[in-house]
Amino acid sequence: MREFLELCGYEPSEIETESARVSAALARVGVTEEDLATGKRRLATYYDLELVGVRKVLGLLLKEFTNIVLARDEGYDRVAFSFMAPGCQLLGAAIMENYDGVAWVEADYTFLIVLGAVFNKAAAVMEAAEKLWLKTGGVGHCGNVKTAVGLLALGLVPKPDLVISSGFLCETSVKTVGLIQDWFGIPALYYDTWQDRELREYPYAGRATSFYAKSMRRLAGQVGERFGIDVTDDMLWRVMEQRKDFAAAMGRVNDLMRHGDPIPMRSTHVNLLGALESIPCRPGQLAEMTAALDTLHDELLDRTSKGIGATPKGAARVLSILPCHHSDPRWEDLANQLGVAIVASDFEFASSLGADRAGVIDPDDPYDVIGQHMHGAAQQILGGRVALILDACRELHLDGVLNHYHVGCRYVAGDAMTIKNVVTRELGIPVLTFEWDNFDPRSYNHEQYKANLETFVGMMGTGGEG
Amino acid sequence: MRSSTVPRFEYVSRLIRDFRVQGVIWYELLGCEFYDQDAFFFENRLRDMGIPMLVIESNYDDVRSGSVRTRLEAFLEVVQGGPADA
Repeated sequence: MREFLELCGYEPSEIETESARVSAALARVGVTEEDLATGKRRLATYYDLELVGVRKVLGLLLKEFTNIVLARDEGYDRVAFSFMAPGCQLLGAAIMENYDGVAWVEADYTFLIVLGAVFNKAAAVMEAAEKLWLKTGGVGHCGNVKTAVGLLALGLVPKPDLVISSGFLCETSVKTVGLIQDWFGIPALYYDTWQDRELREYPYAGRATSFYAKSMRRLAGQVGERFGIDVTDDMLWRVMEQRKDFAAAMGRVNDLMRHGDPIPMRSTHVNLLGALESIPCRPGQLAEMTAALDTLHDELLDRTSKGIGATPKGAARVLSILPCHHSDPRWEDLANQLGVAIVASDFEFASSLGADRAGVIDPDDPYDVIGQHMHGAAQQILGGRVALILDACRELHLDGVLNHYHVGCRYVAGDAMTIKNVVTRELGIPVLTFEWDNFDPRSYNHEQYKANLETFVGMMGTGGEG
Repeated sequence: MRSSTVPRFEYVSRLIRDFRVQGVIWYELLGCEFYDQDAFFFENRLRDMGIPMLVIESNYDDVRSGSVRTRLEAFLEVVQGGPADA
């Protein structure tokens, strides 16, 4: 355990104080000594552990995982569990900062990294959901929603008092949150927005953000009623203020990945950062996360100045449509090995009105400010999403686009052909399009992916100097 | 049809009782997330009531295929307690 915790950036003093907690949490979810050996091997294989910042980020995810698993043991008497719920990390953080007995967990991304990417045990979570109402196969259901259901079905997370989801992009989560209530007996709350936007509104998303703000405020009131607490606007403003340093630190790391040639760390790390962003932070957690990103930034800057990177200099630079795989680092590792530098995901980009908050309608409403994520590529109508993708490709001078579309999501699967056609026509760069599940490691097909990537590199006409 | 799961199930249960139904055929559109997820809940609850349920998916195309016929015949056997053509 000591060696594992060292790989995850734990300081010697932390190992003394935290080892028993981590061991208890890992034992609770069925991680054996053999799994621990697998974890150490996978960490060494897929992650740049020579970077202290990478170890620290891994450690922060392990700490969050431990916090979630042991929440009941450690005195939290009210637990909220959210999934597919953008904005809830802020609402949850605001509540936890003010009420000691409440734990708000957004478990999916943390567990997909720790159980999946590290210990290679995500498939069991998917299978547990498939024994219930989410099926596998050609028209399979979403692996993200399966993760939430599988974690609850297997009891890997404490049984929550509330489960919360939304219908931003997804009809599966909407139905599933109701079925969780009906099947597991856990009260469900739901908040919503609309998707019937029109392209002529782009880049403005005012109708959607206003609706979101109202819906989110109503959700906060419902959570307050259930938990006997009062969620005030001031609580949210404080959390949003605290989060500014973290967001800035994340932006600096992202910038180095976007503009570095070569990219200063492997693309397998991109989703570690995404998982970090999804955490509803307990008091003190955010400062530790920001410090880890600052450390990582300094190390990456040093690598950049020395020309050290994860791909050869001059390697093909591509945009990933959808984030990198959430539970399996093999694809990104293979891509880097074959000379493909994944520099960003379209989900990182938002229309200018969202990026600088110029789209805020009511600056006195914190929910309106939180709702600015509705300007992001993930929540845009297809025409807006395509515009953001084209802008990103031009700004970053990219050689190609990778669209591994998440087939369990009808929304993104439906966008794939249009994205390919427009990018090819407007920019003249190749688009590699194929379907997989962004959360389920069973999608991985090494030979097929290797052949696809080799062809893709050939089409881009760049192989780097290596 | 547009109720959430439990009210819809209660309605179906009433129909089963009123019409002395012996089996339920759940027909759903291929790829319909809502119906597909609901099917699990209905099948399990109906099993508790001793009512068998057959799920058939199609894409609004012709379902008069051999495999569907075979499944329907087998389902009838289950419902009737003997071969369909007995």
